[in-house]
Parts: sequence; structure tokens; C-alpha cells
Amino acid sequence: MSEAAFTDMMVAEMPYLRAFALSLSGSASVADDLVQETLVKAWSHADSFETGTNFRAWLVTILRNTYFNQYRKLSREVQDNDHIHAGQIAVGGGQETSVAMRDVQRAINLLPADQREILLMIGVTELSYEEAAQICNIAVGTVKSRLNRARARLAELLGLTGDDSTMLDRPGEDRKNPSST
Amino acid sequence: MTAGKDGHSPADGRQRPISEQALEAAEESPSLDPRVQEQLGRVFRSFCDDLVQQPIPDKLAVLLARLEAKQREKK
Repeated sequence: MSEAAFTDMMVAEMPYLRAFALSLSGSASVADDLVQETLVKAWSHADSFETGTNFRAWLVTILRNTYFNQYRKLSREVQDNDHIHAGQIAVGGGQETSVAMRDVQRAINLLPADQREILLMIGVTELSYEEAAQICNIAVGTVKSRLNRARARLAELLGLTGDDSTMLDRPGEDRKNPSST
Repeated sequence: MTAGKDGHSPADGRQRPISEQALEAAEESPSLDPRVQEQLGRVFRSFCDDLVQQPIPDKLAVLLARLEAKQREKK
């Protein structure tokens, strides 16, 4: 594979890689360090990527291992100051979603790391259960159970009841409810 | 805190093979109300979409270009 082709693939995966890093670490500064380190490692281990396999999963593997080896302790400290991250991630989403974004990230920060990484691999980077299982070196059933526990905990932390009036969207601006007249 | 709403207490005293799969099967049973699940799905999906749409900082694009150039020089 040519250098240019490898770069193109990395550029294409960058949004997913950075989104995963942001939500995993809960910190924009840690996320960028993490992505930078991942890119450097990806280049120096480019030979170990098997053409035809999922490139995103390969990059996520590198980033995830880097995070757990080096950044986990650091990011825990940064997370305490979660306004940093919330301020950063609100920019692209627009005002309407910024509250929900911040609340969801806060809740994700509170999940146990093993549940959090699975939730984000499936949700943010859209990897399959099998790929997530392989990356974490666990059974597919364990992926499913961690995912279920993460979802249940997340719903609890966000206070979701299934009633749309409790949605995190501002209730005064509910455009999605046609029956409100 | 609403702990203990799932009734999977292992206190029935019956001997079970403690295989990982068996434990998982017990934990896999759906614990979320379908409406809550649907609501969470929407909230989480929108969170993920927003995150993926975040602009990529310039320094990352710059780093990528540098790494590619460096790799070329090696050859």
C-alpha cells in the first residue's frame, strides 16, 4: 500500500478515531494526545495491518491500548473538570444539543472503564460485537452483557423513564412532537 | 439508586456450572423497559453523531502530512 493511500485511509477514519478518544477519555486535550500517539504508532506499525481487514478496528485497537497503558490515570484527573470537555464538544452540535451532550458525556465518564469502552466501540466507532470482543480479548457474550449493563446504567444516570417529557432536549422547544397542539 | 431491580439473585442454592457463558446469559436478559431503551437509543445516537461530526483539529492533519513525508524519506 502506498503512503498516500495509507494517509487517505487514516484521514477517513479520523472523525471516528477522535470521537472515540473524546468520549473514552472525557477530555479534549487527552483525546488529541491519544489520537496523535495513535497516528504515530499506526505509521510505525503500518506493516502489521492486514489489507482486507477493518482498518478502523485496527486503529481503535492501537488507541485503546495506548489509553489503557498510559492515559487512564491521567484522564481520570482531567475528567473531574468535565467543563473542559463539555465546552469543546458543544461547538459542533449547536446549542440545542449541547446540554444533552454534556449530560451524556458526564454519565459515560461515570461508567466502569470496561463497560464504557464497549459502549463506545459499538456506538461511536460502529464496530461489530465480534470486533469489539477481539480488541478487548473477551467473548462476544461478554461484550453483550457489558453493553447491556452500560445501557442500563446510562439510562439510570440520565434519569430516562421512557416518558418523552423527561427528554434532555429542552422541553419548551419540542419540535418533534406533532401532538402538542 | 435503583439497585436490585433485576431478580437474578444467585441465592437459590442450586449448583450451576460457573462458566463464563452461563453468567453472561443471566446478565444478558433485557433489563430495560422498551420505551426507556428507545429513548436512550435516540439520546445516545445523537450524542455519537455529534461527536463524529466534530471538526478535526489542524494539528492532527499537520501531523498526518508530516508522518507521510517522513515515511517517504525512509524509502
